[in-house]
Amino acid sequence: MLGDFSVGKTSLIRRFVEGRFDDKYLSTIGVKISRKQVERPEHQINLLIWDLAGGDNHANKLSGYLRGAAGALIVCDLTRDTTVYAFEHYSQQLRKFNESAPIVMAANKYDLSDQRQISDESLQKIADKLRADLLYTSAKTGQNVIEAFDLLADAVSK
Amino acid sequence: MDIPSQALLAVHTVTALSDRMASAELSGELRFLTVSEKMVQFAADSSVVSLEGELLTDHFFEFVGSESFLAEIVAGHEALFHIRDVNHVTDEGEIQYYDFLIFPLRPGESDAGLLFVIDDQTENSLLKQELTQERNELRLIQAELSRTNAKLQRLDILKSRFLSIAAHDMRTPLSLIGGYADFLVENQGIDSEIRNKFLRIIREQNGWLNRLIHDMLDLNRLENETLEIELYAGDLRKPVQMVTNALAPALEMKKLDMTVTLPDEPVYMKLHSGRIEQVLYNLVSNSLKFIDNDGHLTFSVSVEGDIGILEFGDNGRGMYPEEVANLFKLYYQAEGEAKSKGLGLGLFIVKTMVEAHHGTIVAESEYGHGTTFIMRFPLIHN
Ligand SMILES: Nc1nc2c(ncn2[C@@H]2O[C@H](COP(=O)(O)OP(=O)(O)OP(=O)(O)O)[C@@H](O)[C@H]2O)c(=O)[nH]1
Ligand SMILES: [Mg+2]
Repeated sequence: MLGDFSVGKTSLIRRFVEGRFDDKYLSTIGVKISRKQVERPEHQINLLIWDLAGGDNHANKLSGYLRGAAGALIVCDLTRDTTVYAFEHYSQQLRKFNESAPIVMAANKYDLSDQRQISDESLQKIADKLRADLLYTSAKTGQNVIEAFDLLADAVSK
Repeated sequence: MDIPSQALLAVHTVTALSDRMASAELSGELRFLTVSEKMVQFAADSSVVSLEGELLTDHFFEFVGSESFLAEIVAGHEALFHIRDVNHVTDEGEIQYYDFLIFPLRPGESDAGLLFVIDDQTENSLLKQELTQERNELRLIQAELSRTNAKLQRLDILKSRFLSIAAHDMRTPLSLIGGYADFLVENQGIDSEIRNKFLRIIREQNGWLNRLIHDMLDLNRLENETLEIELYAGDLRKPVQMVTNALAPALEMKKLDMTVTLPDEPVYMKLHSGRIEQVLYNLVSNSLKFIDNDGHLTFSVSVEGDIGILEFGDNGRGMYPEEVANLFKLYYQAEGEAKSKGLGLGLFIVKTMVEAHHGTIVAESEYGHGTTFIMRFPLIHN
């Protein structure tokens, strides 16, 4: 789970794993690992989700966290246009360790449509460049949250 | 802050690990060999009693996926694997932070196995968390402030532009009124036909001014959400007749043509006749900006099932698609329009008024081929 600070990484995991949402913001530091089993008709996928701190972009600090990564959900906050820069930065860092790591882009806080600052076109452009899937999510309403993790689960278990 | 592996190793071998630490020796295959007492409480499965003989990655998911890197450490090619601030939530819901470190048991010697140390950083990291929290919240406030600032600046520019155009718009009718009034005062004995013509111009210009001021007041009420429009059952043809009758002399003077097509039967809907007139006046005054010689305006009312259709069209220069898309936005003005009449608020008011009648409005236009506005309103039957 990658992305700038306060974009909703922890909230997306909380929605996916615990099915709830919290309005309060508690900055993550370090890493918190959550586990979730994803059922498939013929097998199970055991997802280990690494919730990381955002906004701290030092590459050498990231390396310990990215070394074992099979793929990433990179998140931006649709209400803050500066949060899209994280897509390129984190995807580069990730692919240093895993060249073919699949990436799913989550454009989060879709529920706050009246405050939106990032256009569909600019997101799609980045998605094309990173060869990533793009989903509009809301940890608050739950929109596309399961879908985003499902997409990633299938991509990494291929 | 990296803890020098030699020092940690020394600590471990004396088995005098401080309160803050737990440690274990791992085989080259990443199985637990000797394990310090406290280590087990960090395992993913809290019910596990002993880790000896168990595989590291079965109990510490932090290392899943990094097996090949750990093999490099075993082989002596890498020195250290360090994962900082692994979050652990206690049963009481408090977060604790641990550093996980793995390094060769005997540095310099390959295949001698690994040492795994867990170092409790909670005290430090809680401070770090507070700092990060403050920094991030400050940045959020900063972002919010610059957003608000940009919005205010934009509004400010719009408002001053609005005021300067409004002043400009008022000057023309005012000078016409003033000019003709002066002329009439100074030429009392003038031919009555000319006098009437001048008086009609004065009245017409006065009407424009009046409507302009009404629009501005409406806009203010719209912004404050205090505009209320009461609708009554009425005939849609009425306001069209009112407007076209009132406009006829002025259009004639400007050498403009007009066609009015109305059905024979009344077209009943819930309406506010004055507001529909306001819509039409605004549409006409918008058209006049785009129309040249041989200008032609068309008004028509028709019925399609439950829908009353009011159309207004001109044969002016028409608009580019981009202009059509922005047409109904507040303060929007088509290119080159700023110097002519118009506040960019007329069509915004038109749309608002049409919607207050539960209607819809679309503009069909092509550059060089005029523009038609089509409004649809729900009808009532009686
Ligand atoms: N309205 C809305 N708020 C959200 C959404 N997702 C997260 N938030 C809020 O945004 C704030 C930040 O969410 P977090 O999940 O803590 O963000 P994060 O990316 O984990 O932040 P860091 O840990 O600092 O990197 C919190 O106040 C959340 O309640 C969403 O989809 N909609
Ligand atoms: Mg977080």
